[in-house]
Amino acid sequence: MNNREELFNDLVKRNHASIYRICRAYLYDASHADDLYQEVLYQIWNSMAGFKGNAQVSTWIYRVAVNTAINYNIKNKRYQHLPLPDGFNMPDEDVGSVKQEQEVQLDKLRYCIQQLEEHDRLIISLVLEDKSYKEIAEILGSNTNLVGVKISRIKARLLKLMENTTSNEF
Amino acid sequence: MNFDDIQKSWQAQPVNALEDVSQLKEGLKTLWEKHQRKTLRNNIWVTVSFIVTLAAIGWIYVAFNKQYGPMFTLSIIMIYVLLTVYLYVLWKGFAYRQNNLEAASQEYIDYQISKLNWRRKTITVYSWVYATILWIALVIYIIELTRTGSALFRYTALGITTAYAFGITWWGRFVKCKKQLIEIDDMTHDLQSIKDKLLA
Repeated sequence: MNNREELFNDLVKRNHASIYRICRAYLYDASHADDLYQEVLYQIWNSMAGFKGNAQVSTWIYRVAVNTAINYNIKNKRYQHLPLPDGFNMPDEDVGSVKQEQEVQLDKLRYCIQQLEEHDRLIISLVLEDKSYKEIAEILGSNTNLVGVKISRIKARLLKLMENTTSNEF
Repeated sequence: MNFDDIQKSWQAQPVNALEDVSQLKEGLKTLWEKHQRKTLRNNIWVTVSFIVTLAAIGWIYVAFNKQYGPMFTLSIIMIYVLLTVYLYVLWKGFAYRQNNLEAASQEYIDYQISKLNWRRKTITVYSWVYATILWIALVIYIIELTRTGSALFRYTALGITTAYAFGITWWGRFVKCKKQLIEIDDMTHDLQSIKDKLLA
């Protein structure tokens, strides 16, 4: 195994969960998120040769993930996040007895994130990964204060959505 | 519920993503190599056809240059330069195919928009410039070659060459690349929109 492969294995092992969650936040449908996840890994593999160490490895990984997500969605407009057809995601009648409370909560959260606009989903996916305002600003190439203001607004919107969404809606 | 609870719930979700990358890695390599192979095949095909063309033009020059004046040589040089420039751009694009994904999103989006603008200009402007220079070279060549021929023969050859050069360019611009231009415009608009909303 060469150095590149070792580094790739290590990067994926340490970051795969975060990358996957970012994909899940950005794309509601799990199968599309899986496709995006593989695309991100593919792009990480391709971009490794170009990594010059100017940014932290984690920042680099998140940049590749976010930029791949932007690119993916633009090239695959069929994955636009229009509301799913009625009944498609309606819970079964005995959902309460089957699903754990935690899973229901998670479904609700995913549904609420999906209600955010595309660019807000990207930002909130980084916030949910516990990235600081400074790191998010570095990933996006924006100003820390501006990012802070945006995050506050998105958090408030997400909390409001969580409060106002009932189990019948997702 | 506060945001910390949401965050904990999010991070605690089961992740079904592939962690063992040994299988995936092979898939990624295969995908990358397949993509590269396809581009490589196309480039080799174009290069071989250009080399055959260059060889044929070279043979014409060697065989007939004593019979014609400096304009003949000039036209051959122009065609050589144009074909060589085309091949250079083709292979440079293959060698430097990069997406700049490791850049900050603002820089990445700007880079993508500039790439799309370049593609747009290539279709709408540079292809016409290229066709015009090629046409001039061919006109010089034909005029020199038909110097001793009849006017009818000369103008027929010029007419056919002109119709072919600009007909092909026109077809490329308004038929073949029409859909591509719409896609380029859509993608540019979408990228600009994301940039404005994400970073403003």
